Amino acid sequence: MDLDRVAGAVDEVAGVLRADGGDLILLDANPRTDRIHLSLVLESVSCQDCVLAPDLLYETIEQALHRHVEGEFELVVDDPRRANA
Amino acid sequence: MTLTSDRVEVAADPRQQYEQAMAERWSDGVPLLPATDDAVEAILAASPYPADHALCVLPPRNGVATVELIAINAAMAGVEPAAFGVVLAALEAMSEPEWNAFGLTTTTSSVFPMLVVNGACRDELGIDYRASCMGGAAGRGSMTIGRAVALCLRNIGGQRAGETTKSVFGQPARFGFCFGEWEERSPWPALSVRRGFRADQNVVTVHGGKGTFPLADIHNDDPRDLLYLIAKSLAFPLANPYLGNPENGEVIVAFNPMWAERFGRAFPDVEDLQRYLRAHACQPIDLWPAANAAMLADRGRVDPEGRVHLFERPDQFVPMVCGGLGSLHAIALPSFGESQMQSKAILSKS
Amino acid sequence: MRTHGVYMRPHQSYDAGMSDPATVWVRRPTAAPGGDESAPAFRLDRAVSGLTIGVREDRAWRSWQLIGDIWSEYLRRDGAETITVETGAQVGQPGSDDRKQIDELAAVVDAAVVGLGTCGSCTTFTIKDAVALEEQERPVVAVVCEEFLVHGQNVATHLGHRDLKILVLPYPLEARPDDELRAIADEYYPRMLELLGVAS
Repeated sequence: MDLDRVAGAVDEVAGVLRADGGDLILLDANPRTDRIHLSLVLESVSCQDCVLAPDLLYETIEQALHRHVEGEFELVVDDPRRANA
Repeated sequence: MTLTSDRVEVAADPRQQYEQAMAERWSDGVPLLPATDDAVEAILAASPYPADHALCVLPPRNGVATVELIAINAAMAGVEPAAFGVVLAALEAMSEPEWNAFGLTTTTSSVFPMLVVNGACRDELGIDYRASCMGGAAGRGSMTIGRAVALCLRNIGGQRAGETTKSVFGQPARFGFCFGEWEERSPWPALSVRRGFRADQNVVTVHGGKGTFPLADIHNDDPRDLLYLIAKSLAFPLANPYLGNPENGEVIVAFNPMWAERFGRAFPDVEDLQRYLRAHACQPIDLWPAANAAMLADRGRVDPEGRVHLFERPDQFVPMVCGGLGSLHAIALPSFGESQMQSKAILSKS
Repeated sequence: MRTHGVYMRPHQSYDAGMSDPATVWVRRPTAAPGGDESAPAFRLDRAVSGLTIGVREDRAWRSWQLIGDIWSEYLRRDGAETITVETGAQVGQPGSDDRKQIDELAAVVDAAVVGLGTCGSCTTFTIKDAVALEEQERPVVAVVCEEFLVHGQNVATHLGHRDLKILVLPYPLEARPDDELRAIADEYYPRMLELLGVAS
């Protein structure tokens, strides 16, 4: 797992979120376990409805990662909206 | 370094070499690399043992496996010098009496050595333990180490289909079968650690496996339900332990990392999981037709509840973690029965 | 095109400087089979009356249990005592117990009949157990079905007991009705005695 490529893919999605005041943080990308752990930050989001729904956002992140990262990985996204659900 | 084995002059052309290897019956049907002195000496330079050391005697023809002969076969399989220790350790494991190499190499069953590697050498040597680790991942270590062991049985042990080995069907693993455990994704101690080795040791475990037996589910997320179904699937009515002794043999149950995580939450202690598998790997005696049922009853295999257990003990179920991240598959490597898996530390030249 | 015989020149002296650029030298990967020597086989050279004959049966093979039992009955009719042991394991505690049973049998019998070789590993262990008895200088006959004869002979040879007496029964025995098995037991009993070296 190329960690620079992971960071690049996360940054690509995070850029879109930052436009609305949100963010996506890379907590861990472990080449020993092939697990990528991200955290979605929504505290400062100006427009909650502008952020993609949890499932759709997960898919968007996953697709972005697949465009940049070779091979299999497990994606874990801490989405506060799921925690509150 | 002085090599003592016979020298043979062969064509430099690879296609002609292939024909010659087939004619000499050195090959498993696939082209081999030439075991030139340079190639053999490079491997021997990495050996923890001298070239003339007789590592073991390989059945069925009881050929003496000197380290030099093993290195020749390893060179033909394309084994890197750094990986030679895995080949040696695997052959040492197979030479333990309780592995029953004589029985396994001659049986009508489809059994063949299956190598499971633990330790840092998995990455260093290209031993597959992630997606398609049991075939298709194309790691050099997996493919060449497994094949070298198979070639040693063929060329040193004299294992020949229909002649010295009576295996009715054989199996794809007869080309060689070597994979690793994805220790980093296992919720339990590594297989090697559970078998008494330190976590920082490179270890190969050799299992006499009958084949790869796939299991799948997408309808149940409950780990206990899923393990119950896995246990029932392992206890299929024509499994070898129902023919012979329930005290002997093991089944490796390889879980994908996602399932392993799920099972690990339900069974943090792997021995609890093994006990659960043992308890549910059984079938009601009524499942079998009269002749089989009578035999099982005669051998005292039916418990007071009318069930016939696959194995006698929980430790005969050997869970491990490997494979890709598709969360719907497990794979079992059932035993031939009359064999006990053996593990050896992989030595390198000090 | 097969080139074997054209380029293959084994056992020639090696001189890298003289080698043909169209060829390379490699090392032969094969080992000589074990079993160059053959341990002696033994014969009774007397009638069985008054002797103790061991019969090794196998839990796996119902057909052989029946034939073994019939032969035991005939041996007792001919004045011998018989001891029947049953094996069924190759490894683990059950395997150790089985091998111990064979060693104990060797200590108390004058000769033995060991079967049945009718699969790969059971032929291997039939021969191994027969060899264990022969190593105690007991006349012994290993009983092997036709399909597994060559394998049985190979195992005996590689264990250094090339001259081990092997009685060949038809194959397969399993799934035959009892009357057929009884007929086979009757037909092959004299040959079994002959291989043990029984004198009338």
